[in-house]
Amino acid sequence: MNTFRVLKTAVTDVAATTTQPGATTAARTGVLNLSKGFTVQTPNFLAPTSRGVVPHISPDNFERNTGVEGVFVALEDFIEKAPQRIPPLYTYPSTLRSFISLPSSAFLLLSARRSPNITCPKANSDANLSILTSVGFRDLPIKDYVSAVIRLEPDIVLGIADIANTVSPGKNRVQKMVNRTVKWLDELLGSVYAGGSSSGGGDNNSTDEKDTVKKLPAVFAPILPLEKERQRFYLSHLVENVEKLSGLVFTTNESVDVVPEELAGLPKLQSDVVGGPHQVLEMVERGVDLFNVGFVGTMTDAGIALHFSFSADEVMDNGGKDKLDLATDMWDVKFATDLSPLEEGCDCYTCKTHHKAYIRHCLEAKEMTAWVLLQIHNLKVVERFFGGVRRSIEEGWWEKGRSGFEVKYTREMPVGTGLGPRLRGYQYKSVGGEGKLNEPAYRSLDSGDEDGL
Amino acid sequence: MAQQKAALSFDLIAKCSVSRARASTMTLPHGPVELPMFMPVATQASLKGLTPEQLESLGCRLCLNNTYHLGLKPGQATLDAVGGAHRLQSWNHNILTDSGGFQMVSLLKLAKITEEGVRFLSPHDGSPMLLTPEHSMSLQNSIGSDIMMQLDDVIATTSPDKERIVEAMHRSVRWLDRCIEAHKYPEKQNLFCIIQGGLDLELRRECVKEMVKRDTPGIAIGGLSGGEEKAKYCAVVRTCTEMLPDMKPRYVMGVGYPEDLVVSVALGADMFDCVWPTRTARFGNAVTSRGTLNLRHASYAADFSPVDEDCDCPCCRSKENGGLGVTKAYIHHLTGKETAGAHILTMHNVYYLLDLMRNARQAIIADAYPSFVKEFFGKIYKYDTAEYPIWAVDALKTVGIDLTEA
Ligand SMILES: [Zn+2]
Ligand SMILES: [Zn+2]
Repeated sequence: MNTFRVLKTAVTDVAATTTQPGATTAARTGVLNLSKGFTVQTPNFLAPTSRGVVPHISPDNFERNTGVEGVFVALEDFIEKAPQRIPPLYTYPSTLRSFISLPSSAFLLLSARRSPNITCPKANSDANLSILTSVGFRDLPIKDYVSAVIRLEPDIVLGIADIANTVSPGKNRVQKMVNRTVKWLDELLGSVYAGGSSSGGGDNNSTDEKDTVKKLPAVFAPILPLEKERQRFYLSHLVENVEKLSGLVFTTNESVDVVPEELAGLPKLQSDVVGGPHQVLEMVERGVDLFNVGFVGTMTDAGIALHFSFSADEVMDNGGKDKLDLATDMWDVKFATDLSPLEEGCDCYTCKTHHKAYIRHCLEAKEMTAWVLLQIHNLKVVERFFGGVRRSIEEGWWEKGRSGFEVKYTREMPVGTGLGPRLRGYQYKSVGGEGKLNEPAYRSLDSGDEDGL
Repeated sequence: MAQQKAALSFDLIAKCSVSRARASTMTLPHGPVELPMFMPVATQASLKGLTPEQLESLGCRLCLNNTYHLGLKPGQATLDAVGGAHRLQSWNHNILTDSGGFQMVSLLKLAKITEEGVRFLSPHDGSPMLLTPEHSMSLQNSIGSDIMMQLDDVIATTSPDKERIVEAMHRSVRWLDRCIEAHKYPEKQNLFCIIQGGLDLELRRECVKEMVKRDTPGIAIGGLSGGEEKAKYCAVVRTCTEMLPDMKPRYVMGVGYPEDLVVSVALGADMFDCVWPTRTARFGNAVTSRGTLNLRHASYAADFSPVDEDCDCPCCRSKENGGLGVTKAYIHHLTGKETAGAHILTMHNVYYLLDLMRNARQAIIADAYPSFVKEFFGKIYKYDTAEYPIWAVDALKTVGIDLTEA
């Protein structure tokens, strides 16, 4: 069984509650038990993947040098040849976890699409979701997703939301969004709770029923990016099916506020965290438990090292002066001979073994190792940050920690100055008609070796 | 000639009773290495996205850095400030550097060689620059490599200009003398000479005589990665090893195809380096015991077997046996799209070549090198002797190994 238990809700400052009864914090710690044996302490994070890999992190580095507990995998990364050719993943005799050589220490969340993702020019239809694969825009039949979920055995699966391409959809479109999302969720739940018998695995009949139930993936239902009023029908449908749901997922910060009381006990995943640690803290405050931290990879690709921590340290507020940066651009020439680690006291592989001068050299020389080392460190910073957040709630200093963080650090992440690794298809922000993504790797003088991937 | 200082010790462990293959242990300033060996090339102090920890986990104890590249980035001043290349890349094992000359001649179309050195235009700003033997030594002293190479006068072995080849050979000898003179730390860095002479065996012999007199701690055979006929390549290696002292390591520069390695070991060579196995990984090419496979090919999209079933590298080893259990299909899925795909395949390719030489060494120690060679070729060509490359069959015959006999 997949279960979630709230362990502790953050204590609100007494003075604040007496004057403003509504201003209670929703920050909480919890424990998510997944049916395949994972125990996840929340708040916590998932690492986004691209084509099944945490960017720049080979599976051996994942296991040895990161503390990542869960990954966010998108089916759209695996099915470019469909429907003309059956995607290899569908003929693979084992699970998605095994296909991507995911270490056994991490749980796998499957989504139809990446998060954040590229808006497709073509609208969804009743039976199809528009997706972007490495070879272009395609339709993903909902029934294919549903049967893939059974076959690929993720630990968590996200329901699919029908999200309009426009920011403020009209009444008819909203109705369609609600109806389709209900229908698609029902199809997913129907298949998952039928033990996957619809997928054609007919020889499962003899399996002990208890056993089958035990290993079901946790279904997280999407909350639509709409005001509460406009998705009332959908939300009440979720309430009716609360027994079958193991969590909720949303992409906009506001969506967390539309969650009805009856669903409050479910873990909540913000799948689109691009704003950095301040955004995370705001969402923890509003009761979010899990975060897909897209900003980490963005920083790594830009050659930026994170260095922030969540602590109970006393912070003096001097009116915004002397705020610390959340991160540093490692392209800066001032690091050329700097033999100190990316972050003093950090126990990650990168900081224990390498210095700023080497990382700066690898960036400058366009050596892929630069991004490997930065990614290892950046993931470790985020891991420690979430550890701090959990401790603060358990030990009763959440609010102090949060306001201290607010005072201590600037809000904005630095903007990268150097060239990143080769752009990948999903990073292509516009639709068609543009020039090449990447400059040619070869130059006339040294045409051999300086071509990063 | 004066006895040269050496910062290495060389122990000959075993010799093949049939061919000229040798097993030895060479102890360098950063620890012992076992020969024969393949040395991966970390051009700019980084091996194609692998961390030094990963490279070490593959069993590598000696890798290359390129002097020309490190001279440009991070530059000599930075190298001095950081304290050398070991410190720069946190690599506590051995490093070998080339002289920088070959890189210039091959990468910079406008390089021109005079008695003074190699003239070229700076890739930074186009200003004229000069790499002399003294400057090469100074750079390699700043890098702090365990093995440094003399600046030699490199020209393609395929050059038709006989006179130029003769000149280059003699100049290389003169430049070695200047290198020895300019080398600041002979007690902690080993300078290897490089035998030149094109494909002319008489010229090679003459060069060996001159170079051996200079008594460097190790000896390289140079100028052979330029696309010459394989039979001629083998003749040069054989001619040189015949005359070389037993008690010094022999390094054939720029050679890295598995078949070349196996044959060259039989001809008496000990050390090899090549960018090919690591560079080619980025394009999805897997070096395996059954030949090179291009995993980008559609036929591998749904091939769920390991890259090489006989390989025990972390990628190919199954999950059950503590490996990653990576399949050809997954590398196909990642190649050219995610850097980690290149990292995984680079690990495999480097491991494959390191392991090939480790196994060769074991075979030599067991005095079973001829059967090792036969099995190696048999696997690649499915024991169809008609498919075996003629140059390999012929070259091996000259040292007593007959591939065609059962
Ligand atoms: Zn670190
Ligand atoms: Zn392998």
